[in-house]
Amino acid sequence: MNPINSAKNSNALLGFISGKLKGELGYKKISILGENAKWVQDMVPAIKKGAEAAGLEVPVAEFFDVQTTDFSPIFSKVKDSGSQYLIVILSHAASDVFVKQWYDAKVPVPIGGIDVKSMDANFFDRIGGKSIAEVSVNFLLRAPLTPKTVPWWDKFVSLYKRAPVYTASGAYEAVHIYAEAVKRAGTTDTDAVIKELEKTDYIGPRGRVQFDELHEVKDGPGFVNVLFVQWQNNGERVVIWPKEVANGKMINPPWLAQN
Amino acid sequence: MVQILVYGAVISAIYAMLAVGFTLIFGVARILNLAHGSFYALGAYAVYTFTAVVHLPLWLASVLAVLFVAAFGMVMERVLVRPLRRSSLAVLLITLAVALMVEQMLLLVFGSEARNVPSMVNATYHFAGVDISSQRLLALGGAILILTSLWLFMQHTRLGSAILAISQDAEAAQYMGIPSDRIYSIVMGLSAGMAAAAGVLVAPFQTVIPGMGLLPLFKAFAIVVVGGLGSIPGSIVGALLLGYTETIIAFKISIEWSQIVSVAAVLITLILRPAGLFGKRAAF
Repeated sequence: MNPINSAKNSNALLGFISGKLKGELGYKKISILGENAKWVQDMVPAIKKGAEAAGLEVPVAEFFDVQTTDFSPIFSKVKDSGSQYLIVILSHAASDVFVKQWYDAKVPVPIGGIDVKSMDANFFDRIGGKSIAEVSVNFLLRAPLTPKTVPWWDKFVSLYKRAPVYTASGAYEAVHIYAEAVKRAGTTDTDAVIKELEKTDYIGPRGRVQFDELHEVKDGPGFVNVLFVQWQNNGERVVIWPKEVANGKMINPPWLAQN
Repeated sequence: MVQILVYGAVISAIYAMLAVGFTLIFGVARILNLAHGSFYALGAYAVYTFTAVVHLPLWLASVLAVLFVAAFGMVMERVLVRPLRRSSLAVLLITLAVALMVEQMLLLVFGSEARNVPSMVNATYHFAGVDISSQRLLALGGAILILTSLWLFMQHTRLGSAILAISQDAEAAQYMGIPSDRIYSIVMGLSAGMAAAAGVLVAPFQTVIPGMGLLPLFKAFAIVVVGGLGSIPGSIVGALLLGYTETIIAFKISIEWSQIVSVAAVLITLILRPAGLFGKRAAF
């Protein structure tokens, strides 16, 4: 149910790179940095290829070990390359460290991409506001993505005394979707339930859930959407991409001139 | 080039603080302390607690954190290590048990989520292509100050002389009236305090999580293997070698390869010079 697979994530990132960074902001040069984990290993070369095909230069495309504690060298390399944006892909690594060191060194290159820790509602406060202007994909935030989103979010907070992470809605939806499929099938027989699951059309807190021919969750406008969410002043989260659902303007870190 | 010099110096200084404390307690008391990384983690969590929970000023919280961990180290030595000193294997295991216990306690008390320690200083400096936060420069300065103070203490005080005497020949030193148990306790306090100081200095730009002590323990271990177990100069040289090699590889090849340096250094040293660079010389 979630997260969406690496191929879909890559497509979403390429949409952000070509549509927002190149299309709207006119950037010509970006770098890519991903943690050395299986789910990222195929993404970095694919995104580099896609970005170059879209007309961008990619002078630095590197992996780093998930145990890395000092990112100064890579920040220097990216800065020296003249890159205008640093795409990051990290989940298992300590993004708290990465973002804090980026902020503390006032690296003159904005960052954004897939940063799983940055998807947490308390990430901004957790690192002392240093994720300002960082962009990360997300699937869920307290906004009217569907009529269910805000009431579901508030109920979650009242029950568990904390904001949900992005996987919570997927888990919630999965249980309901399975239960409805069993009800429709009238049995728990696997093949019968699969046939019913294929017909799923469920509105959940994240969006409308349907499965494609590979049984993956359909993504994109109208379905579960990959939202590019930016941390802005006072820890406010603003959707800046895709254009159709954006509810604010993308900002630069405070030490850089605004676009 | 300037970037490599500056960033390498910062990382080497932090490694040196960790490794010197680790090798100090081995050189004096022959304790291979697997809880050394726990002192580093406790230092970071203590400064977090004193600032975020007790709301003390950061400088006071830092001092108290170091003192708290030094006291913890001394209590550990007195209660858990000293009764087992006759068996080095038992000592090794009890320090491993302490390391595991500390990590689990931190997990129970603070949870698995990373904690934030605010920076002691907030400026950023840009020179010769280097972007560096003042907190990192503070860590560099703090490490140099602490290591220099340790050297002065060892060379110019009666207590330092007693520690040196014990490290050279514990039995002879006892015959001369030096209370070895008291010295071991003090050295454990010093070692723990140095690891805690490293944790306090890096906490603002590292992540404070229960498992944060493992990697520093491994780095300290790699450095003392390279420098020679029990040798303080060896640890400082080893820290410089490891810190600069990691930085050069990150710059010239890829950051992806920098973490393998410590493993490669241990393997190469054990094959070519098992005693380490300074291993055949006296502990100090």
